[in-house]
Amino acid sequence: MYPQPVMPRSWRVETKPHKFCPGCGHGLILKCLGEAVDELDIQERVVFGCDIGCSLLAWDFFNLDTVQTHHGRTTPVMTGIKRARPELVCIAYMGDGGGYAIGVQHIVSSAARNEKITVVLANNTQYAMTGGQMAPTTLPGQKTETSPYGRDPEDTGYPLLGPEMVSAVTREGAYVARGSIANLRQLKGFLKKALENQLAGKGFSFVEALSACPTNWRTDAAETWNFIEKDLPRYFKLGEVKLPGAGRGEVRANG
Amino acid sequence: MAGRKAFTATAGPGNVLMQEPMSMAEMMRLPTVVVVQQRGGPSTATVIYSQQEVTLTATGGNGEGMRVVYSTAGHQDLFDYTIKAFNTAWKYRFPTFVLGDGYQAKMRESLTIYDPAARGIELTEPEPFVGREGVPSKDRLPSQHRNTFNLEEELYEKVTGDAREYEKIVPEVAEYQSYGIEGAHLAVVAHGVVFRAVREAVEKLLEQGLKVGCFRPVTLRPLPVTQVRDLASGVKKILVVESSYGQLARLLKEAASGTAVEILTFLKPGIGITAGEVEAKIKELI
Ligand SMILES: Cc1ncc(C[n+]2csc(CCOP(=O)(O)OP(=O)(O)O)c2C)c(N)n1
Ligand code: SF4
Ligand SMILES: [Mg+2]
Repeated sequence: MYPQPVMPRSWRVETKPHKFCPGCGHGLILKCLGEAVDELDIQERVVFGCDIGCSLLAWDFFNLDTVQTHHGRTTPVMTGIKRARPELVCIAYMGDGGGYAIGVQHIVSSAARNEKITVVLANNTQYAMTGGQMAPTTLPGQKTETSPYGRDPEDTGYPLLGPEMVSAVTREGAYVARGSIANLRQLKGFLKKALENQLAGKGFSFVEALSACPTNWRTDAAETWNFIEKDLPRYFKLGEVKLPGAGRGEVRANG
Repeated sequence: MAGRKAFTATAGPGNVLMQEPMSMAEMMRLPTVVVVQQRGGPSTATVIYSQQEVTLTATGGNGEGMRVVYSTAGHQDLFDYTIKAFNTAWKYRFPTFVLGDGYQAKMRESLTIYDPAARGIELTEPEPFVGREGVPSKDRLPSQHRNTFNLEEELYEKVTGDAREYEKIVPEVAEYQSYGIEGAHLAVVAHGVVFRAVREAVEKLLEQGLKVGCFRPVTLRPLPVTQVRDLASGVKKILVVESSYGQLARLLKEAASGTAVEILTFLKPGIGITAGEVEAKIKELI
């Protein structure tokens, strides 16, 4: 028997191995999230919401109460549950398509209202589940199913900067950060702080996690890592964008 | 989901948007209540008299439209059926709608506001679907709600199971009112506020000795199909009067299909219908 990797307590063992592709970033983000939930010992209080997109594959991923919603609607569903039951810890998990395209109005307005929920958004630069179409986060020049010659910013704009946008519409009490699966320790720290911010009842917390989709990027291991570690941070700066005390946090690595 | 009773109120394009969460509620069997005050359409159009959201509300978004729709005719109905809608939604766990129209939202009339308990109405207690006592996996299973299926067969079983449950509750849920239909040659069918004009016209004509009656489906979904078929078998003609271009007539024709009755219509999409107009129309037909 080979030694098995340690799973967070909050993971649901019967549903492993998980349903994501090999090399997918979702599993790594959810591992960090699971560990943060374990360390804060909040398993019996968490409601986990997942969106449409590859995040929905997590509907039975955790030993947590879970609601899978319509595309983009995870934020309002978690907002509603939080408002009805403030003692619960509500996490809205979604992709960049769900959060920055069809559901962007919910992110903006719940951030502006300082809803006491935590949004975790996996940014893999495209609509992965549907086969890799261009999303608001696709890099200039990046080839996708719907930008076969590479994204042309003249036609379709530049990558949307989610945490910066959220930061602009939030006030004191919000926690906003961008991490990456290339630095799991940092990402886990951000997720934990985001959950602590909700537990303290201070305000909206938002973590974007740069994620990999080798299946649709059509990349091998080395190319995948290169893209996630080198290319993505050129547009998406890592670090904490806003702290509850209205200040800036950890110095932004690429800032 | 969190164990609190919740509702939303909307109309027109808002009703279109609300069909998205309501189809999810149908699939997840969530007890939801929506109060709709129909507006003239398509889309934004007017905000007053209209019955143009019948098809949308009764059949809903994608899916099979398993829901309960109460069509109200005035303020007392709005009060009574809002209480009832919450009980229906929480008892049967199908999306429930109180369907009025802009006219009802803007008119004034007296009504009795009462404590449901004083009338022996027991309010169904809500229960949480998530965030129950205990640690998931240790004390209980996690409650995980989804609307995503891997296999077509899985979905088929889910939907046919719900359909069977829905069909079973029809006799308990379907409601109607009728007036003067025994021995009538012509029955006028209307719902909501339009039925008030119809009833006034029919009462007057009955006094004059005409063989006419009227019928009001209170639930547009499920329609009181048995009673509609009895009606269709007992009269020669049915006249459907509505403030839309045949949305109720369509439901009625489906329910009465196979009977020999002749179904006629008096349709005024998006505007009010008076008792005088209905009276004149009936006289024309008899
Ligand atoms: C309302 C709606 N529009 C479109 C779709 C089709 N759809 C399914 S998954 C998906 C893309 C999701 O992309 P993203 O949110 O980035 O998640 P990822 O799969 O990349 O993790 C789309 C558009 C849908 N299911 N519902
Ligand atoms: S398609 Fe991409 S995002 Fe989806 S599971 Fe596979 S690797 Fe992950
Ligand atoms: Mg994506």
